[in-house]
Amino acid sequence: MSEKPLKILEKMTDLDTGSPCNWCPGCGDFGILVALKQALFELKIDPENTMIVSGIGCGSQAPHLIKVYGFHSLHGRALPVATAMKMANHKMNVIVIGGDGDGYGIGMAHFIHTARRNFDITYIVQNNQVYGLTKGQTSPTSDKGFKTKSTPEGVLEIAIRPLGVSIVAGATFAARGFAGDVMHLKDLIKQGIQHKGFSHIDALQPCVTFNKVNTYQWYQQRIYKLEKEEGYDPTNRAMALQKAEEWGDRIAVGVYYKEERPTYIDELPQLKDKALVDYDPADVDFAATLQNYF
Amino acid sequence: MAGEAGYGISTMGATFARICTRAGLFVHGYGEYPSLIRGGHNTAGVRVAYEPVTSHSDKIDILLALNHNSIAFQGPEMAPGAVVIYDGESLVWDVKTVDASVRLCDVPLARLTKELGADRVMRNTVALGASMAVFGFEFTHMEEMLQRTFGRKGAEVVTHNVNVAKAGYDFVVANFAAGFPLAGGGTGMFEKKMHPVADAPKRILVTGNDALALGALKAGVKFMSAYPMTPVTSVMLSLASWGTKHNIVMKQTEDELAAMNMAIGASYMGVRSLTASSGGGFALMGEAIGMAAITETPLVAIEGQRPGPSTGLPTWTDQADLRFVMHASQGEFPRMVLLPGDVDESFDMMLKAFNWADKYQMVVLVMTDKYMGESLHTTAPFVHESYVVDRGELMSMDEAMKVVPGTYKRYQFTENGVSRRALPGYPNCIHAVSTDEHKEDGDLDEGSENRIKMVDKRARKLEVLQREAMVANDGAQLYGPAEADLTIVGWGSMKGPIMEAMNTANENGKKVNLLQIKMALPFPSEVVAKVLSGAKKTLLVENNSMAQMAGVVREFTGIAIPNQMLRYDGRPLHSAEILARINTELA
Repeated sequence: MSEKPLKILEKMTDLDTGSPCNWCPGCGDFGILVALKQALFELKIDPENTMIVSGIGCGSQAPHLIKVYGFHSLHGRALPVATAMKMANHKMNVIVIGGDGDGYGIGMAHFIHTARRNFDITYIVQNNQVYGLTKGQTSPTSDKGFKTKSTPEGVLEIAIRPLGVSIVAGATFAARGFAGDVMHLKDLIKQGIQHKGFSHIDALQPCVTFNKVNTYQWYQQRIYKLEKEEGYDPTNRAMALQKAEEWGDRIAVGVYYKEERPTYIDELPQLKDKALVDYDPADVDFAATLQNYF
Repeated sequence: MAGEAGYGISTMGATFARICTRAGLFVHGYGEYPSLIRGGHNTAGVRVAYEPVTSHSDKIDILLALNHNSIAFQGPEMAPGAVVIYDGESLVWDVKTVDASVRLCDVPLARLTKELGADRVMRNTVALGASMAVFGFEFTHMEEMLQRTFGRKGAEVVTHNVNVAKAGYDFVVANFAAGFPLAGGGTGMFEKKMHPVADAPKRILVTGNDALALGALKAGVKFMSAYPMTPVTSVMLSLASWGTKHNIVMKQTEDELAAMNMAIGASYMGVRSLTASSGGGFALMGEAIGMAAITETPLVAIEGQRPGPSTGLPTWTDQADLRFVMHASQGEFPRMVLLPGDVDESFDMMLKAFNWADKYQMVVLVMTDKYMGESLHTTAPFVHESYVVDRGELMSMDEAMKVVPGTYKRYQFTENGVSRRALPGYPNCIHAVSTDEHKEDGDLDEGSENRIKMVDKRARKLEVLQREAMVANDGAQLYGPAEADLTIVGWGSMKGPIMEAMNTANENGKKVNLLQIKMALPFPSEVVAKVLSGAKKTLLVENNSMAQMAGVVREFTGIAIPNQMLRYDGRPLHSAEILARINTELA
């Protein structure tokens, strides 16, 4: 098969699709979308060698809004779809994007198992602590006591601490950004894409319509940058886990945890020479294997 | 062969079956086991004949009884003149509980094993050696098999196994040359000894699952994702074992949700992909089947039936998932449901399944069950040289290079409903697809006009498929005389038992034929209607309680089949009971 010529983006707007966007004005998803596009542009990523996979939720419209290959999959299932895509053609950059209900609720099992497999993909979670597309129900990251239409007396469970989950499960890059600080989030996404392994980025994202508690202002009063925190070492797992527990008066953004470990693809001898997709399905030494059945 | 679970009963059965196959005979091997690792009662039955055999039997000619339960459960199934091989030093039983004509072959299996300094588990090998002598084979056939099985482990291991097997073989030759004591007194020979067939063509011995896996291999599968589940686990194990040799990635997943989603993801990327499960796992897969349908991603999945509902009878068989597989996942979309009836069709239909999935960018579901999937069959080597991989409207990289940027539409409306498919990673063809309804370019659209066009576009693929000759050729098959007094309708694993019963009936002057249905979707309505409307008398044979295929036949042809033979105790119908029913029907 011939090699595709490299395609280089000339300007960031080359990533625009022109598709109508169905997000509410002021939605945090806009900040995340801009940060992602800017990151792709600055990294000079070939859009034809890039795949964005999403689940279902407001933010999961993202693949239709960025001019790279896109697959808008099922609620909670973006990670298995995306990781199989990586196994089928590991030359592609694979980025996954989805909401907190998608990744930390219905898709939690896939999230944990994807983290331990350490595929070289980037997973951005648009975390707004509420179910927006279904018009305001509790989410796995809603704080205890949070009142929604499905929890009129307040949420009884404690909230998931997503970075703690991914670090424990084996993610080799875990970070948190804020949709209200696009440049900082963009830097985190760039680091995540450049990291060789599973990078998990929890992107705090105010839902201006259904979450009147965790607003831009609420976050701005609490957020501080980890990289400015004296003595913080993102390669220290124990420190990272302790930091991942922190939520309330102070909320850290930045790289929580980072380690180097061989990726799943690195350890598959089948993929050493070429990608699965580059093997000709008609070229199988079938007769040799059939011999075992005589 | 019968004994406690965990003692290698199924391995013994497979070894016996392979020795017979290599000696030019035909076998059908059927095993029963409970859902336990250790301690339950396991059986491995091998039927051997000079002609092809396609059904198990309820009669035993040689019983290898390794414990009391073997005598209690299988004793009554022994045919007149059968031989029972057992170790009288550890297994004391009342010989009056079996037919007076049963031949007693008391072999000190444990003592012989111990005398040779072999591990206790090797008494199976002694027993197999003994059974070879009873069966009438020269020891060399077993020796060759042991050489083949253990050759890689070195000459010492081979010699050890040969000595142990030979101890059993020699014991029988030395002690029972003049006949066996009979349960009711006196002595008698074993009358059903068999001999190898010289110069027989070489044949293979495969399970239905082996055939499906081999079909996938030949079709060029490069990715499989699956979660283990009886009765189809061996498919994923085969593909895993071929990983490095054939550059296949077999990923065991956290659940069947991931298995199906991964298979779709890899297929979307352009790799021929597979997943497999049984009813319970397939229930989880149902969610993503619709995703393959609306994104028009080629998908091949195997569903191996076992009795439900829920966990049901996990290690037994039935055919009760037909409606489930035909309708799994919400909404309306075209799909193919293939119903191979034996190992040859399992192989052949997998080859076609991958081509059809690519050609029609469609969901293709292949059904099997525990009976067919795990039973062993002797058959001619699979014909594979003539297979041509057909990837339909899949563009090559070179073709993509000529595409004018901005013009590519993944879901372009076409006459046959199939659109040109460009793979992620190609130049000039960037697009995003969605599980939401979409326009020709893949972008979201909830408009009325577009929706109708898209539903019709997807449906058109099935209409085209239905028109193509293959539904007539591959959808149903009539066996036996064109004119018959009784037409049996069956599908899947029931083909073998019905065929055998039909052949026996016809040899005895009856006129019976079989209409085998090989595709549930698209349904071969014309062929089925033509045969059934001309049938004098019909009988539906199915391993379920609700006669699901009768319902499907009626749905597509308007023809009812009220005369039904159904079995739903987890055991497959066998040829003898079908033959008895034929005789009753035509009495």
